[in-house]
Amino acid sequence: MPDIAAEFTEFARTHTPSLLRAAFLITGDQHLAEDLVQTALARTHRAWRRIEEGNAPAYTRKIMYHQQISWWRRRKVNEQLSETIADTPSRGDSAEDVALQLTVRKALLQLSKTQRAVVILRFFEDRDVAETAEILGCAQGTVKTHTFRALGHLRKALPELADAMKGNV
Amino acid sequence: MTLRSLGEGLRDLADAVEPADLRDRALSASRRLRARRVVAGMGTAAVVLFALVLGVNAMLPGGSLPPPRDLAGDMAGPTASSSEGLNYTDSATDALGGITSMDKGTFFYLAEAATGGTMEVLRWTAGAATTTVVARDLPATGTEQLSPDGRYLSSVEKGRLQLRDLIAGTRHESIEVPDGQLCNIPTWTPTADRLLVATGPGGTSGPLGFVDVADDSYTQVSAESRGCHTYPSYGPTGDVELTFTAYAATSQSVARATLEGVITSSVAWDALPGDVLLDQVTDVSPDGGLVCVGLVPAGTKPGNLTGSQSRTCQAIGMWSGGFQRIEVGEPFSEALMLQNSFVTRTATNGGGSTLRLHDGTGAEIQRIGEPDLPDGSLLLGFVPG
Repeated sequence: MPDIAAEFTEFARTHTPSLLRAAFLITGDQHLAEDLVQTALARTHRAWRRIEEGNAPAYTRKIMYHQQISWWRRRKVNEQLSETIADTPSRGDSAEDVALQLTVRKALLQLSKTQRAVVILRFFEDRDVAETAEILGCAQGTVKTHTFRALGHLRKALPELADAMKGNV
Repeated sequence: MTLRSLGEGLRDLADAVEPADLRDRALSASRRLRARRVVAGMGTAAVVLFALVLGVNAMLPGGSLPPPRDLAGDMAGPTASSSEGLNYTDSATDALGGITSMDKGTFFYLAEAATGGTMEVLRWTAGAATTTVVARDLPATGTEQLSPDGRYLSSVEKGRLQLRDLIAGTRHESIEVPDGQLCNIPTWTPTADRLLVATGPGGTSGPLGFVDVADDSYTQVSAESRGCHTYPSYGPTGDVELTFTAYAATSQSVARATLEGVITSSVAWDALPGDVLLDQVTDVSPDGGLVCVGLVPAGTKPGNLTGSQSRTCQAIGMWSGGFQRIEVGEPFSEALMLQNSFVTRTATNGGGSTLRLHDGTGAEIQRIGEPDLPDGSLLLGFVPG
C-alpha cells in the first residue's frame, strides 16, 4: 500500500514554490495566490488515488487554472486597476527596476483572465500551444488567438518588450 | 531588472511572492471537502429512504405531485420585449412590490459541469427534489448575468455579447464588445429588455450604452461613465439611474447618477463604522432602494489590488441618499437584490446551503434548503412563483 500522506507531503514540498509563483502572477496578490494553491493542493489530495503516477503536477496545475477562472466568476467582476499599485518588488532592485516591475504587473492585470492565463502558461511556464490548450481545456487555435491579442496589449503597455516579443505568437 | 524577454519579466515579477508552506492548510481543506461530501451524501440517502418508506404522495398536501412547471408560462414579470417595469401582481408580492414568498419560485445557478472545463446553468424550482440543466457547454467567462425574468443568460465571448435563450435553448450573438470586461460587464435593466454595456477598450469604464435584446440596437448613454461595476435601476420617477463604484487616487465611493451624468447621491467608502470600507457595487434592486457592496479592510488601496479583496456581496444597505446598512442576523455568502426584498444564501454545516428571503428592512420572511448542488455553484438569479 502506498503511503499517501508521505507521497503527498513530498509532492507539496516540491511543487508548492513553483505553483505559488504562477498563482501570484495569475492573481496579482499574495493571499489569493496562497488560497488558490491551497485549494488546488486540497483537491489533488482528494484525488490522489485516482491520479496516475507522475501526473499529479499537471493535474494540480489544471485545477489551479480552472479554479482561478471559477473564482473570477464567483466575484463576477474583475479588478479595476489603481494608479497606486502595491509595491512588492524583488529584493535589491533599483527604483527603475521597481517601476518596470510595477508596469509589467499592471499590464498583466489588464489582460482578460484567459489572456493572462495563456501568457503565464506560454511565457512563464514555457508551455507550448498544445500543452497550454490541454491545461486550459480549449482548442489550440483559441490559445493562439488569446496569445496574439494578449501580446498586442502588452506591446502597447510595455514598449520595452516590443522587440523581445516579436515572433512569439 | 533588465527586461530581455517577456518570460524574464514575468519571472522577475514572480520573485516578489513570499514562500509559504501550504501542505497543512491543503490537508485541512481536503478534510473539510471530504466531510461536506459525506454529510451531503448521507442527507441525500436519508431523503431517498424517507420518500421510499412513506411514499412521495404522503409528503404532499392533497396526495399528489404538482404538475410540471413550464417556465415560459410561469414566469413572473415582463417578457423579453416588454418595456414596462416589473409587475409581480400575484400573492408573492406585497404592497410595495416586495417578494413575500419563495414558494414555487425559480432559482438559477451557474456551476461547473461534472466533466470539468465547462459551465452549466441549473434551474431549480423551490420545493423540487432535483435541478434541471437549462444551458450547458458554456465557457467560463466571468461575465455571465441572468435576465431578471430568467429567460436569457448574457455573457461576453470572443469579443461579442452573447444571449442564450434558456427557454428556447438557442444562442444569439449580439453586438461587438471588448473581450476584457475589466470594469463594466453587461448588466440587465430591471425590465429584462435591455442590457447596459460598456463598449470601450477592456479595462476602461466606458462609453456606456443600452443594447435592446429584441433587435440588437445600441443606444449610447449621453454622459461619460464615471466608474465601474455599474448597475441600472429605475428611480422614483421611472427614469433609469446608474449606481456604480467611482475610483480616485486615494479613495473610492459608491455613487448614483442620471443617464445624463448628474450625480444624485454618493457615499464615501469609509461611511460605515469600524475598520471596513465600502468596496464595489455587486447588485442593485430594480427600484434602486437596496444596494449590495463588497467590503475591504481599512487601509486597502483603491482599486482592490492590495490586501484582502472582496468582490462578493457582503453588506446590504438601503439607499436613500446614503447607505444604511441592513443587518440580516446570519452571515451569508451570496445575495440577490429584489424589489423591496432580497434573498441571501448561507452555507450550512452539513455542506448544503439555505436560502433566506428578507423584506426591505432585512426581516426574515422565509427560509428554504437548497437541493444538492455542485461544489462552488453560484446563485445567478431568482424569479418569483
